[in-house]
Amino acid sequence: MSTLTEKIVTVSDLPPRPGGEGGNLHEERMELSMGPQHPATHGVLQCKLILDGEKVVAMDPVVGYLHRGKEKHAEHMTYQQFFTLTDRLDYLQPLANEVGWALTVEKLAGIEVPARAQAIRTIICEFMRLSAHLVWAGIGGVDTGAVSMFMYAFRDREELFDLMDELTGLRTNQEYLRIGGVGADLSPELIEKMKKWVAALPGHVDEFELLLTGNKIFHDRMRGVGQITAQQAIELGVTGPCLRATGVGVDLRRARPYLLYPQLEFDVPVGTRGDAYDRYLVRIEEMRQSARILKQLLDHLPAGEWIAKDWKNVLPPKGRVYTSMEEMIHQFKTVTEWCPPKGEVYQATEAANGELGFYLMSAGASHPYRVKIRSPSFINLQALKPMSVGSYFSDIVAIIASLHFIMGECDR
Amino acid sequence: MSPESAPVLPPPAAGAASAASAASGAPRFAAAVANPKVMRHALTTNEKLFVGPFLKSLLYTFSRMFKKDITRRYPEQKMENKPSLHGVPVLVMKEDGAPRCVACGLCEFVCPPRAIDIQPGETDRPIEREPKSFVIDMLRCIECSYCEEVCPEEAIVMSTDYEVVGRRREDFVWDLKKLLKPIAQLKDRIAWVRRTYRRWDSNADASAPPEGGVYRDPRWAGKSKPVDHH
Amino acid sequence: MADVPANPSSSSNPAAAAPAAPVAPPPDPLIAALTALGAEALPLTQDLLPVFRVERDAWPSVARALRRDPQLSFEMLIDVAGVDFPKRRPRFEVVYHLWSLTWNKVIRVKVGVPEEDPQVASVIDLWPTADWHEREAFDMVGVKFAGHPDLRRILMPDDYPWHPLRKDFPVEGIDNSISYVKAGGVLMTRELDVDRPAGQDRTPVDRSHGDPAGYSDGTPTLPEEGRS
Repeated sequence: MSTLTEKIVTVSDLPPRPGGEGGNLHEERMELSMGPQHPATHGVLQCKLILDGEKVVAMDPVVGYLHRGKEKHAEHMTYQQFFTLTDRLDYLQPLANEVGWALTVEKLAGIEVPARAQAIRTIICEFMRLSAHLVWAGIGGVDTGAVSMFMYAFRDREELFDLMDELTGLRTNQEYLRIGGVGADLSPELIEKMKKWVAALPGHVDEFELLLTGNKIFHDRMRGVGQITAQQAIELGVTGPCLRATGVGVDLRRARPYLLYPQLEFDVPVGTRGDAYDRYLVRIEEMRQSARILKQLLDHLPAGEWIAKDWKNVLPPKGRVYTSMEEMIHQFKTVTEWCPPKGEVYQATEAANGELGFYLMSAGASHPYRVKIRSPSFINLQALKPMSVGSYFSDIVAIIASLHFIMGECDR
Repeated sequence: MSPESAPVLPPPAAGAASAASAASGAPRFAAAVANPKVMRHALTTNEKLFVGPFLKSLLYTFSRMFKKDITRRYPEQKMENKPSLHGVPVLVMKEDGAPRCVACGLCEFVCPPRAIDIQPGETDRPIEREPKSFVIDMLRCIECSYCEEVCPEEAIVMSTDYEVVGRRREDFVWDLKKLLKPIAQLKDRIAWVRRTYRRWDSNADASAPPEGGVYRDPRWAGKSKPVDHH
Repeated sequence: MADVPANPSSSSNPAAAAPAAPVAPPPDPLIAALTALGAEALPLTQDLLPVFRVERDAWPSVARALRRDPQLSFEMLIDVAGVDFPKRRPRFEVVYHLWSLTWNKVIRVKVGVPEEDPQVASVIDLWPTADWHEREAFDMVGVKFAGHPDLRRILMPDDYPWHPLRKDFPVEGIDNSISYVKAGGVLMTRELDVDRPAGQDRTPVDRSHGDPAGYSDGTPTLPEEGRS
């Protein structure tokens, strides 16, 4: 707690070392700026470090280099248009962000989403969790010296994106969600392809484990690094795999369930010590659990509509728009003047990195009054400081890799 | 994967109060799941010796050399064109060479990056309105297909063209001449649009316009609609 | 407010929740406890979270109770949002979302902050995660948090003079030579009025649209041409 709340230390604040000013190089403290253009900081994060030899004495993460003002933009966009910006929050899992926003808006407007649409949303949420975890596995491997891991993780991710491409038409930043449902149906052929991919995934995760988990170099690199206790994690607001690695089995899919998660069987993996290796283990196991969820959903996909049959909130059927004046007017009104009621909603979903929440304040207009995005990367990044201070400089790369924040989501 | 030890929350530091004051039983948080899966943390003896797993993973990597490539050799080997693919948006040109677009401006409104710019004008054709100029800035376009979804005339659809290249910024600002594509090239996508955006209503396109033609209300069959702008 | 429905998310999945979990308190004691501390219970919104308004002076003691009282025990501060209501008094509102892991309950607490003295007590000693949350609220809306040890801007540059999420800050930015009007932004200038009934927010477009009141950086106002 104290390491976090104290003011950022600069070299001049530190007590003088033996040798005095300008003294022996081996006894001096060094101020080092890591990033913002550093390959290991995963985007544009700057870490201001003070080093005593190889030891990190103080650290201040500097964020905001990727700030694009999404919350301000949201106040000037329609509810449907804002989906395109939520895609670009955590760009490794664009559809999961869209699901979060869709649930928020639907809760505000009280729209009932049909079961099939909910199932498709759950499916893409899990696919996106896998997408994010696969990138994490690949990049985390590269950061800790296992370069071939990148190839194997991206092989699976490439195939995943082919599936998403066929479903949504785009490989990434899909803009697939609609208020009231999803943009297109899941075809039976695509379900078969997805089943095939999901069936192969646990074997591929075993391969990742073959390469990393039992590898003594990787183990030594990650073990005991960036350790925080459960108490610290909760105080710092850390959520997601980083919190579960400390032994707290809190998962929003279970704690505050949404979509079809209450009906699904899956385990919540937890770690024991809260270090980088535990965060690795938890994420690897989450990939298996996601495959398990996907298998259940794809085997028992409910039939029905994939978008709510709601003439006032959803665009009318195309054929009627071409021919009927009523539906033509509906089309124009729904696009330009769709106004949910006044109110406030906080809706959180379990994204790959933790609790992704949207706090939406509506004034009853066609644009939101205020949108606050509770981005897990931003909050989890606060834990970087207590994790790093006292460790070696080279460990910071492993800590950053295991925390896995996405700067697009952090800076919004 | 046998649990090494149960997840025990470390005792909170003295002074940091409240979490400690709650019950000290194992599942302390109602928010936490009752039976989480505890991950093994320590290495086995075999893994500590390093040689066995090392050779195993080396063998695995070597075995990959003889597997089929999953990457695509891109410029030579193109992506398979599915009807769901979102290429750049283009305008539908009817058989007579005129655009279907009536310049209603709905796509201009809905476009999230504001890539579309329409200047409407009048025409003597029965549709009365047509775009004088219709410009899409392809550098802004994010290919989200919202324009296609909202278009009430089936006049703007996503093409299968995803390779947009140019040497200058002006090359990416497409005007009517560049945007208009014959309807015959866009048949697949139009069929996909009709099928997808029919939504829940299976009777929706019973009276949809015929392929390539302007919809004419059957009540007006045989009668020519008067066109008089003055 | 007597029959407040329980938070649906906390109770809708009894199978997954811990069977040996402590008995969740009915919602009434929560409201009673907070009302005794000086919080005012507000009507529920669509997400059915208990909502409270707390006076600025009472907020430190209420926050302490929320965090430390074992009957409340809100361990996790989920979110801090600063909201600007230009036509209300007090002008700013700081919205806290708190999560009790012990009882699996989420509440929303609102603290009003007047424009003349935009200060509210920091809760960083109770929830260390408030550090960056409060820095962001200060950066975006300009609410100061008394007692925060290091209240700097976090997302905007350190020398940035404005608070961009205030409603009088134009969306295209102030020091920006590119007029968004030319980029087809006429539709974006529609003013929203939170205090008016729904559907009546379509006030005429503000054509003056210069610098926000109180700011004087010498930038000329945006040109008039290009607006239809």
